[in-house]
Amino acid sequence: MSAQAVDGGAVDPGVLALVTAGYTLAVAYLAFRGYRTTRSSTDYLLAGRDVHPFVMALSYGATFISTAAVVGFGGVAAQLGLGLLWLTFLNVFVGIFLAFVVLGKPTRRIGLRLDAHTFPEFLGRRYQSTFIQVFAGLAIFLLMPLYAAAVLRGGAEFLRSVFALDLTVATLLFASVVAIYVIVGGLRAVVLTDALQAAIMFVGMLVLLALTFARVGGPAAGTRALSGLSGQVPEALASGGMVGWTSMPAAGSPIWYAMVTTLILGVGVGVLAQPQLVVRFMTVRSGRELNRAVLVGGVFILVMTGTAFTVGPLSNVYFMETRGTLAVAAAGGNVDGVIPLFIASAMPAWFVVLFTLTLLSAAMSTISSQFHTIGTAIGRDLYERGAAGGRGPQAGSVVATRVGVVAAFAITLGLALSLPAGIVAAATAVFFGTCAAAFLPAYVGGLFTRRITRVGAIAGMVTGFTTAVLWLTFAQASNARRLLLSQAVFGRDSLVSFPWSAIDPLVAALPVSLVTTVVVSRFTRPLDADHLDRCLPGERS
Amino acid sequence: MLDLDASVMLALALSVASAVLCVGYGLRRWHADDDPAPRTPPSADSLETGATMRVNADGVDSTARADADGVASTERDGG
Repeated sequence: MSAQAVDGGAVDPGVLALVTAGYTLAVAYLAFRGYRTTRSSTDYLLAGRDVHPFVMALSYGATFISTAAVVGFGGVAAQLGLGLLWLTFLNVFVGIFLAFVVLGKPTRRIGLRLDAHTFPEFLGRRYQSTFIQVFAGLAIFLLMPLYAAAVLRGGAEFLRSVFALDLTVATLLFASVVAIYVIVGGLRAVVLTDALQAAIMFVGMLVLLALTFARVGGPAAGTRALSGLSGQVPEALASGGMVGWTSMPAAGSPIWYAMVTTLILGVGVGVLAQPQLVVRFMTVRSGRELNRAVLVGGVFILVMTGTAFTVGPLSNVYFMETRGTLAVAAAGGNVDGVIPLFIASAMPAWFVVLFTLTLLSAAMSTISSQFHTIGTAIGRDLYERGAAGGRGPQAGSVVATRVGVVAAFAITLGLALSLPAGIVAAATAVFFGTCAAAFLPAYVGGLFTRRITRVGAIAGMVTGFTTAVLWLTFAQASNARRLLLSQAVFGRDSLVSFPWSAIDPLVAALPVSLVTTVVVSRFTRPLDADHLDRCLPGERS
Repeated sequence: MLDLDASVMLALALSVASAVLCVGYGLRRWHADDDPAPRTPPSADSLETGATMRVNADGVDSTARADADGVASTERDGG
């Protein structure tokens, strides 16, 4: 083991400020380009449907990977070990390959035929239901701010640690910059800035991986040292089933259930029904662009998540060597503090500058898409389709969405400032899991089969969403404990016993949603044949 | 040699294999346009009428669609 017993060099504030200013100018330039080429609601909502495949793939990846993945899940990996690499596998295979190749093409094709501009609008038009569009918009409006707040909090925490800013100031500054370019340039600005940010993230994470291996003596020596720490597993984790950082937790233990159902399945499968990602498929010209995007997306996600889930556990080797303590303990018990502390302590000053840009990019690229998605949910799906009954002027879409983005900014900011520490990964998993439970059966069914009826889709979405929320509130102990409602009403954290109390809402609610969708569709009237021919011309019932 | 349990090693191997699959698929299908749907969206004004959408669904080419929508879409379709 050869972790160096020296802390990272001090960063020159002048250099850091200069580099950050240069980055901000580059983002501002790309946002301006987006603004200048935005002339219609299709430009503002779908980047004109003519995005270059590599730009689309980088935008998808940068939106997918946020500070939650780098700081939040990196910190969780420091605590629970390299078993989180299963999530990397699902992120690449399910989140990129299956998503682009299997779901992306029909999504693009049907979205175009129905002229859908948002994910709720896609579902609503596919099932010819205003209720579905408004319900999906409402679900996004209610749930996505929590996820956005977690990402914002992760970025702001890092800004605070690097620039020595007050957390409130860092959060406000960060959110304001992103909101401005989303409001002005819409999705064109978002995808262009995403591409730049993804490139920075890719370089930053590759260098982080190389430097971390150098710190611990290489991959072989590092994993050997990490394996040797298995005797240091804290008692609380050992009693929950953790056996070391180079192994999966004991099968069937509470930590195993949490890791497998919440972190791996919740996020790994939940990604398929993410509104802010699904719309990316509708931004390219043809299926050929999606073929090309797969290439970039797969490599990008492998490097991003693979690095975060490797560096987190290996930071234990560094901290044990230099401070005689485990990473989470060195960070004061806050898992979200591990990666920032590791960077500040173990990395050279020049890398702190690069990593600052990496995290700024990761947070900004995700938050910009979240603001855009919440804004479109408010403006297009809830206001235009819901409140205005679909009769609002077409030009009003952009105005209403811009107002929606302002609202998204305010709500997210308020939440970010009130979230407890260590919430980043959990909030992300909650959003991913709930989205999958609510939307996945109706979305996938709508792409491939004529047999899902409007009533079936509605029933599945409502039961999936309701089951997920109830499970979060009254069953899954880790989240129910935070929400306090179960304790207040029933006097205990969870109404179910282990192992159900450790299971993620996705695992409980997705089957309910799926079965409901299929069964109700079996007994209700199918959609109009002309409409089905328009959506799925190749399939006949 | 990495000192990892078999399950973690398998996860690592599958992750790398998936990325290789993505690269291989992207290169192999680089020129394949296996998605024959029209590439230009119907005009925004057609959202409620359904008329243009039906034209598109019938597979009418972009010129006909441009006539129907009054939108010049030739350039975009050429991509």
